[in-house]
Amino acid sequence: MKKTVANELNLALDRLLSSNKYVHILGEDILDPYGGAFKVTKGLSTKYPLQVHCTPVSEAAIVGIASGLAMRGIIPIVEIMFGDFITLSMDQIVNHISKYKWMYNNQVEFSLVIRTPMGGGRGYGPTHSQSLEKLFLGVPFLKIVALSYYHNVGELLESAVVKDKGPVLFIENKRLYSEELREEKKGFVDEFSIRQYADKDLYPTILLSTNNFKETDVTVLTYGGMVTLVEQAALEVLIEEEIFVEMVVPSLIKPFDADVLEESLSKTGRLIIVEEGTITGGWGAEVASVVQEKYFGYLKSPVLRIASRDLPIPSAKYLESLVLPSKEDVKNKIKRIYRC
Amino acid sequence: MLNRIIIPRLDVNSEFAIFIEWCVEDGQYIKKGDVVCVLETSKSTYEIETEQNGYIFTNKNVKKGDKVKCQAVVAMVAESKEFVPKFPSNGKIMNSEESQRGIMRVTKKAQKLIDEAGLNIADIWTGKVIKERDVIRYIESSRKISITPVEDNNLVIIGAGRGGEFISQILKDHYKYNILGFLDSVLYGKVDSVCDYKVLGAITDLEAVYSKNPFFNVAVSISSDMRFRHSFYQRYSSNFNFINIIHPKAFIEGNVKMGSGNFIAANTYIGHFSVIGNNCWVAAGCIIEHHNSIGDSCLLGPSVSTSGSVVIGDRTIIGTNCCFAPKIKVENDCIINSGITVTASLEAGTELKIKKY
Repeated sequence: MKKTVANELNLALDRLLSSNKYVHILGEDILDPYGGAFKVTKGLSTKYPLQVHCTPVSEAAIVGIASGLAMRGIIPIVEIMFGDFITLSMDQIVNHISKYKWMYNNQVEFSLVIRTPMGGGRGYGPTHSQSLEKLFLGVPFLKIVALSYYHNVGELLESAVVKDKGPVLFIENKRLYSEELREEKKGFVDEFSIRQYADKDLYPTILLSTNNFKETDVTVLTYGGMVTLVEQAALEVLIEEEIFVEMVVPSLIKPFDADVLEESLSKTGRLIIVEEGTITGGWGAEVASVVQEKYFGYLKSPVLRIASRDLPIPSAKYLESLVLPSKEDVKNKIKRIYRC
Repeated sequence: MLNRIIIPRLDVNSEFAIFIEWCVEDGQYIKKGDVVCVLETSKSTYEIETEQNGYIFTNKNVKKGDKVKCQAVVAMVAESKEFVPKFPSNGKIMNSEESQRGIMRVTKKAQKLIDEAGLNIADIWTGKVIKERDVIRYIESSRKISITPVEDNNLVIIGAGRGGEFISQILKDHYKYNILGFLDSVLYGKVDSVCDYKVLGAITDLEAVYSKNPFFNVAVSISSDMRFRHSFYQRYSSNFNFINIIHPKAFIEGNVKMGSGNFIAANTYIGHFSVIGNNCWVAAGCIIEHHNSIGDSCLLGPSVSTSGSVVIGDRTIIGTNCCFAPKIKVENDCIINSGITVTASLEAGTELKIKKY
């Protein structure tokens, strides 16, 4: 079996279900033979019929039930079929799950993972293509983890379920499901030197460089599905103008620890933040603000953001490509920030 | 009517399919519904059918095991047998060898150097994108010069662009060298002569030109690419005499120490006890005050003024009309853009710019 993101998640879920009978999966249409909209739970309901539960079409109920289970010591893993539907469970997440531990004076543990696919580029239209993780940036105690194919996604999911004792929103970009994990060979992945930021064990941050982490011109911070655009753009600006780019790919996007940027920013002084959600009030805005508070001394130019336009996402492929960030956007901004 | 056979998106999660086999022969007549080829995705195999009758022309680039992306054109169906198909080469077809081996990729800057030096990419290729630095390293490691020129009065000017024209006039008016001509990689083969002096060859042909017309003196007129100027000086300075070209209207105090290969333009003043390294280019109207020290391969634009006891490191580029406060220390490889007044010392590799954001 190929090491695609979807397969790796499936194997991780399999390991979790077999190792602990208190792990339960809840979601819509996740039973065999369908196995979930993106086939991440395929085969699991046959193997563990008592631990995989297909639910009615009510995201509020799914997350509400999971919240009750979590308080009684069960470890629920929730699948929300499309990230766009997560707004239906907003009340449970914002008013209950994220606060209970604090409200009940630490008497309850809350090992609860909500897995959901986000992201566009598939022509699924305005209500199945959004990246809504930005809506949860201001919710205290809720962690948001986003995977990319540079991370060991199986391990990431297992640490969110087993090691993390708080609620986690686990974002899976739907374009990445069919991508194979990028494997390191002698410190390289294709053209990029790769290394892991030292301190973050639970949710690692991956650093990639087109110049072996030596002289670098521009730092690009991104997560999830946008890594594909950024790596292509980084390679093209290398070939066209020999601009050296360092990519920082965190998996824990909230709370985001800006320390991971320090080493790279001290070399480059130029930061571009790329995300797929809409630009206004997004993750990039939050990070840019933290960066200028903390590392103003390093900055040679204003921090730039690349994100979707403040518009609904059209179904037509061409129109969709105009709304979502493109490789050209990333290239142009890299060239622009490099010259200032 | 022409019909293109395009790889469809076979399932929502696959960007490409693997090509298995052709079911038709090139140029064969086929009917609507015939199977043209077989593809495989991560889930199953698919047969691609035609939608019209006609002669089929297959894309010869597609072979068994290749990855074909959605929207790739694999074949065309035409009504006429004489049709000559043209398939777009838009990277939608990745040959199995290529996707394993990786394509030899070169940055544009590196490609320029490779072209100038006439190198073979495969010799430099190490599996990663070839960068300018890699080419420079390769050239420096592979080239050894075996010439030991005898002292004479012959001189060759490196670079026949505007700098070359300008240097040749100064040499003609104020020096007594026998100018053989220019070496220039861009102009060689395009123009015969510049300012009545012949263009003898490309810069890389230096040794070949020497074997025909021996010379001992070299004047480098290139100031736009200081990295090239530096590497050229490094390579040849032990064999040839890189002359100092000093305009007679420049005023240089008697106790100034100067290396070789420097150019000092008119109206420049260099004060007492200053030291100038090798291979520098000092444009017109500069004021370099007393006790200054300027490193190797520096470029000073017109009207650069330095106060007393300024130290400027190697390979520093200073734009027009920059000013330096006294006792400033600028370390190696700095770039200071035009019009900046430097009032604090600079670390190595600093680039100063006036922000226009």
